[in-house]
Amino acid sequence: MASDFLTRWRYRLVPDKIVGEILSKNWIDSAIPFLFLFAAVAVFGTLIDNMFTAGSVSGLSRTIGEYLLIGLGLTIVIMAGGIDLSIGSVFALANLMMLALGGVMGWPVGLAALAVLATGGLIGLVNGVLVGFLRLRAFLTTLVMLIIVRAVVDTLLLAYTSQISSTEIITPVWDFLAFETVLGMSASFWAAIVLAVLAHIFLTRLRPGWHILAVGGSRRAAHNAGINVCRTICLTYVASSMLAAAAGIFYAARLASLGNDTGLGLEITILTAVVLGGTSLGGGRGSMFKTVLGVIIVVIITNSLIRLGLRSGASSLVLGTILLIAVAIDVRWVKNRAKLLARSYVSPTYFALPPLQLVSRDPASPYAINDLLSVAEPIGVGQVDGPEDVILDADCNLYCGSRDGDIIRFFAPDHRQSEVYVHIGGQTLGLAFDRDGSLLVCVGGMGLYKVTTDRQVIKLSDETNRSWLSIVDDSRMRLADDLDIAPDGRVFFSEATIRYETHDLIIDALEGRGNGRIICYDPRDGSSRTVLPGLQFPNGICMVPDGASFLFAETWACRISRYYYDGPRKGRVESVIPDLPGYPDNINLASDGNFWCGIIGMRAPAFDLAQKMPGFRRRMVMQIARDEWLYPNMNTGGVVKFSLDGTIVQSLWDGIGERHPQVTSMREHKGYLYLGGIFNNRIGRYKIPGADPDWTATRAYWGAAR
Amino acid sequence: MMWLSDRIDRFRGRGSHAPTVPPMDGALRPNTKLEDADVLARVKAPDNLVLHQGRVLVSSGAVVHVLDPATGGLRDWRRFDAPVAALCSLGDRLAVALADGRLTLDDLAVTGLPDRPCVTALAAGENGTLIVCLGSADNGSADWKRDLLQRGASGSVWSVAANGTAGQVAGRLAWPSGAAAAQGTITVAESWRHQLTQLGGQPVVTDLPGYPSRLIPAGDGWWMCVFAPRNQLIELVLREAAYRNRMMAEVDPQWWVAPTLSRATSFYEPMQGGAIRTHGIVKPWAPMRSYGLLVRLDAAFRPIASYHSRADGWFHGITSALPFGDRVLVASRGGNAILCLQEVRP
Amino acid sequence: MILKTLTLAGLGLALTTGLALAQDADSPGPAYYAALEGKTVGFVPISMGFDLTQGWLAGMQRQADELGYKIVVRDPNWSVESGIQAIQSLIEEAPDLLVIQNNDNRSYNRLVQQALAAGIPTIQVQQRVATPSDAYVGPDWYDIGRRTAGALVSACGAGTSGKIAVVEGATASPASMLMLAGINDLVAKSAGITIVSSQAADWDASKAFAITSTVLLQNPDLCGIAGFWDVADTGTAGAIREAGLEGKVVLATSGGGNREAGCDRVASGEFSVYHSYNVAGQARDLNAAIKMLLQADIEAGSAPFALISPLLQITQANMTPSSCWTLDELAKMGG
Repeated sequence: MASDFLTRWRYRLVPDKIVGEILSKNWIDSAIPFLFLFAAVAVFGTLIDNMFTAGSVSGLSRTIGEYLLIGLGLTIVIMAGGIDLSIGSVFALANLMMLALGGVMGWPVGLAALAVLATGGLIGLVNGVLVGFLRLRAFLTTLVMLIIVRAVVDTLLLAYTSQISSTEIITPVWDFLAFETVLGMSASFWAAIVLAVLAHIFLTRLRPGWHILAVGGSRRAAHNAGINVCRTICLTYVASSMLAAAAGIFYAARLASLGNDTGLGLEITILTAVVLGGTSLGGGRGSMFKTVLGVIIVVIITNSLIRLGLRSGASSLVLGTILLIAVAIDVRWVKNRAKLLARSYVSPTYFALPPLQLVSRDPASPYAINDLLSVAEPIGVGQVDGPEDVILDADCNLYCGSRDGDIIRFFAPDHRQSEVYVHIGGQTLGLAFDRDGSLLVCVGGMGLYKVTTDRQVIKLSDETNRSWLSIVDDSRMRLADDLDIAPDGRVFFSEATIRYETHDLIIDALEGRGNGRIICYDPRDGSSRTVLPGLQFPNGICMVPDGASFLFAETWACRISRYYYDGPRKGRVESVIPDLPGYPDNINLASDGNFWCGIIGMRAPAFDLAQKMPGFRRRMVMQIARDEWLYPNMNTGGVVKFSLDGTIVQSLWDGIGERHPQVTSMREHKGYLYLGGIFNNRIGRYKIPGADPDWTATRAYWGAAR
Repeated sequence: MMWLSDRIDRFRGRGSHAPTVPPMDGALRPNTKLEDADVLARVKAPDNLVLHQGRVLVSSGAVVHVLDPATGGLRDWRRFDAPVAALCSLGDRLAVALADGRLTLDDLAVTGLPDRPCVTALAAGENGTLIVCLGSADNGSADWKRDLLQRGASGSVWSVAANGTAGQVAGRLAWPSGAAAAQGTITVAESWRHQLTQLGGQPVVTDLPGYPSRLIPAGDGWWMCVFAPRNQLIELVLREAAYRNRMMAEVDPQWWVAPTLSRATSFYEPMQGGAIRTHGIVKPWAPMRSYGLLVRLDAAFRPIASYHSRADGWFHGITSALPFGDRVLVASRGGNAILCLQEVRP
Repeated sequence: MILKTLTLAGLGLALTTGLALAQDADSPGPAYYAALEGKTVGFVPISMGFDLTQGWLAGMQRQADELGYKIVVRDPNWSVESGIQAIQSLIEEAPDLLVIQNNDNRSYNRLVQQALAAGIPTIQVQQRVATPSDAYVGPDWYDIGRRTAGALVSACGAGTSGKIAVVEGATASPASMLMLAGINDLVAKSAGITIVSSQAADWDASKAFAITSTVLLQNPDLCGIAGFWDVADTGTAGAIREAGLEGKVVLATSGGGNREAGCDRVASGEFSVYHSYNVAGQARDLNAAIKMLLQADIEAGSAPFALISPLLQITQANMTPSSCWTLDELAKMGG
């Protein structure tokens, strides 16, 4: 159809998925303040001459440095879910103390600074104990502290102003703090930047920093996770007050001002900067980088308003308005970001399957429906949850994965007794034995793992090379699915999708895009490299016994292809079955030299049509609940046996659909076919009429050695 | 502005464009009473149950059976050359509508109806008249899914006098498929509008969670058959003209995203996310295109009790009910069964 | 034709040049105007929006308009931090002259030095930082303190409690400190007078009100109050009125001589004695300093001078309609 042609090109040319992928980035939170800063610089830089000359920037850097120091402290408090309003008063007290100790008392600058910092820390400690341990409200507690400390400052000012005014601190250190610049920027600026970097590392890379974020995210959850919530909160206030005191020291050095308006309303200015940067007032979200942005914006704006010659009160009004807008954006953004992301991340594209060949119960047709699997004997009913893959060792013990992240072993010969062989963590999917009997496992969300014969779990690969143009970090593995091992030991495994986790794999089907890839892990040097990108949910992988190629199934594309990793055709992909009537899953060897393939579900015409109409799928995802979405039909499936030339040799179904509504994996072992299903609660065992009763896959792979 | 906000609503699927479905709540709270009811008889696609001159008749395809309400025994009563669309007893006479459009009162052919009328239901009117519901002027009664997907509203209600001449009572209805006459007014079930409409008046019950059809008198109230549930996906498809039209053009009707009378049996039918069989079980709350629901209404057509067969049940597609003594016989067209509800007092 | 035009033009040129030369010989006019025209004067008060700063600006603006130079106002709105940024940015922009009013004697010290170092002549108005700049225009605060105290001493002699209270300005402000020193010095020399309270109202009427109310409660027999600024002392007067002690407590204060802030309140009896440093006169002093500095070709800060505002004592007895000024008059005729 003509419209199909247009749709296809529309979706090929416009990469919708980028919007969602960008929104999924953590740094997107900083994008708004960054744009704001950019706009502020552009607007005021144009309006005001000399706005960004070296001297002007150097002057600004003093204010920025002081504000930033306070801002860092407030950010830490806010990230832990609190608020500290006392910073302005602490700042004023620090200024006064510094001038008094250094000037009147004649203490050395370093000692005076230490005393001032200690006083700040003490005030913070009082705040912290009250808020953290006694669970008083942060807002009221620090508001009271603001008033108390301000009163102390006023009292001291009244008593000592004339004394302090008459003395001046004159030492090189003091002058350096006050007037010198390094690379055109003030000492306070550099101090603040260094502290910001350290604080960033502390918050993002160190355990106590994570604790702060965790407490801010959810106090209760943090407590349950064993974090000392009270102490964490308390310490944030100590940090905040000490940083405010540090800023006060720089201020004292710069101005030696005894004005009683020192630090007045500073808490609002800093709060504006922090919130404007994008740190959420609700706690748990934010970063130092954002605060740096916020402080720079606020300083540029206030400075510009002064320079523009706005009259009394106007700049407070503008600043207040900006705070209001920033808070509003913050609230709306935090509230809606996940929703926006969930909606815009799913990005369907045009995908047309080859014409559907209808299957029937006619035994002569290639995919003839029958009820053969409905008599499969159940193994481990209720003991397993989602055995995606099953495998048997040389001693006929049966292994399967599970949704809980275990590998479960059923003991030979009757497979009645079972044990948890190992616990890995993520959903255990594809399984394979290597030459020395270790079990290689694809673990959803984790990568490729190896379980040695003495049950040690070793990570083989959890990242591959990152592709250049990918916005999402595609080096990490999200959904390693199935694997097989080449004779030379290289492991080829499929990663079904790089855009979704296991629990969202259906959404990948709704996108209809090649989001998956096949990765080669080379045990010789431990490297992993993507060999085949852009596959549509690559799933089963099975070595062809020619030592040069393997078969792989692409589930949502309903096709099986052959890839040559070696030999003269190296690098080529050939189609084996291009038009399955259902969705293929794992592929494994059969005793007669053919291949088994599990069918996880069947193509439905209404879904196939939807795949050609991405706009419809997109609106479906946006407008209705997930349980209501049109899915690929995964309630009917079976097993087909096919030859290397793509001929269907046999098909096995559970037409009744009670025991094995769909099959994700099957292994032939000594005349039986063992069946796994990712949504099933059992393993099935089906006697294959006429199959070689001695044949095992392990021996077929690795010879009689094992 | 209104136009703009409407466009935005349509784009975002909000407001009047939200593909929402009212919850089954209050008197419609789900239960398994229908699923747990006794199966009186197994009949292939039973449609219309009537009591005529002391005999229980049930239509199934082109055959009308006589049902023994005690044993469930069935015997053929009459066999027509076309599927039976609806039955109605007027006391001494039996009205029979066939899917090809013929409508007879015993042997008297009704005249005055449009060509090949799409009869969906017959009901006894007051003063010995017969009320005829024609679902659509464009589609036959077997083509009801197409009429829904075309958002059809070309149905009509006719009144047939004892002499067999018909006159139109109302038109422009969205698939009327059940009628109830009382106190001089006729109330019809407009399936595609999910409501009961009083002709010449206001809708009496709106926003039903399913598609209502036949209304059967029950003492001081009524039985309302709800032959299929509403479903968010279908509501969405009804708003998606491009997809709907291509589906109707390219896909076999039995595999459409549309309501059905029986539970999905073919893997070619569309499946929704919540319907994935996990551990061999389909969840009762799974979104389905079929459902079994019989609702008891009071004299003012307010629901007061309901009987359900949910997503994990089989007795879907309830097309008629018949009070018989202290029991109610229920035809589950999708479940191929005549059910017998005991203790139906709410 | 062309020749004729050229000749005429040449003649015209010669005439104008000759005229200019002739004028130059007996009048300083052209050089004077040239020295002022097109110049830029930066003005950073502590805040706009009250009588003093509005008055100065009105006077300065009138002269600026007349002589064709520009006044750039930066309003820090009572914030030292903003004031610093404002002055810094002005130094960046290098105006021909700076007029600065400072809050305290420390914060702007370095900035004044920077401005002078950058070659920008700087006038300090009303208060002065430690660094002397080209000109200081403002009152002698110590003198105001002494005169205020003097008025109280004469009013609170024998037969009264002799108790007086001091409602200060901002503690760190040099004006306030000097006034306080003046008061204290004089009171120390006057027998029978005691200061029962001396608190800072931060130039704020509501604080002054609160302080005075408390003081009056504690000392119902208070004789007099020394106020530091008329605007803040509307609060002081309010507290006296509210305590019902109108006419019993002597309130001596000082200010810029604005009609509403000063004379009207003297007329109503709220202020008993009022010392005006007369903003209209200050504006004229400022204008004079500006004109001088813009003409003088000297290194900035090399020859500092002061123009001390003469004080005018206003009481109900000696008040005339011309004792005070209004902003309107000042904008029209002041400076």
